[in-house]
Amino acid sequence: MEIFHECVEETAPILFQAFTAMLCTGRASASINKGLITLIPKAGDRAKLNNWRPITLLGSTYKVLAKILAGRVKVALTHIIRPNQTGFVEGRSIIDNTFMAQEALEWAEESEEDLVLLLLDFEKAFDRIEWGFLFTTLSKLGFSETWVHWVKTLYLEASFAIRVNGTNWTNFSVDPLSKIGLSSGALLIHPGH
Amino acid sequence: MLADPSYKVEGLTLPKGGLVRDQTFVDDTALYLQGSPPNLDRAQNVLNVFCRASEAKINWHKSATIWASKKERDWQ
Repeated sequence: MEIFHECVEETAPILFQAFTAMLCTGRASASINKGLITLIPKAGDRAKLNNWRPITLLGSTYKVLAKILAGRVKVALTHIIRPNQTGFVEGRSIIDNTFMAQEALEWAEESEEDLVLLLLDFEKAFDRIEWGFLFTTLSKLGFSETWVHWVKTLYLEASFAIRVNGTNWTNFSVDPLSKIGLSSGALLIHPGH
Repeated sequence: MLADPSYKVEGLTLPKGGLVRDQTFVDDTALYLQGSPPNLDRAQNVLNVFCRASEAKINWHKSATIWASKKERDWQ
């Protein structure tokens, strides 16, 4: 990543060219969307598979593009994300949720209102969300076709290789309808990462 | 969706006049629901529709329900 900062004069025009080509053809060049899946040890006995976590490594070019898109979407976030969501949006804080919980519980006690507090856990929230749902939602929110297309290229044209003991195995692509989760799945739900 | 008046999900009206129905931080979701069985059914319905449309799934055994009122609950 550092090379982009250090040699911005040289690298910026190359990236600009690559991204413009993507915009014109509507396709990502294969190498940009390539992810390398490898295992990293968590803790404990490394002979047990349970103690390893698969992680997808993405190329820097992909990350630069994702960052650019995230940076642009950020401007719109305050307007499209309801105030009840305190994540992602600059100027909002998780503390607001804590205060609200305290206030609501105290008031329910005082006023004798019946209150049921339901704390929900969504299973693998980022990975499960259906991509079609994501794209339709973006369009409904008023994002242009071109914009939604940028997002789609990041998701739909991805291919992967699995790295085991230093060897990269054959590339495979992900059927958009299959349920394989991407570690980059958080991009839209969590722009800025 | 919960805020969509056509689903008629009632939250909690606060003394200062505000209304709270849901609060989220990323995917951590808290619902503040007026505690009558019909209202809870309507909320459940909204959750079902959302999960069907988005493929999201609620982990009920990792979720929590709190009856937050002084009164005894008069229903199961």
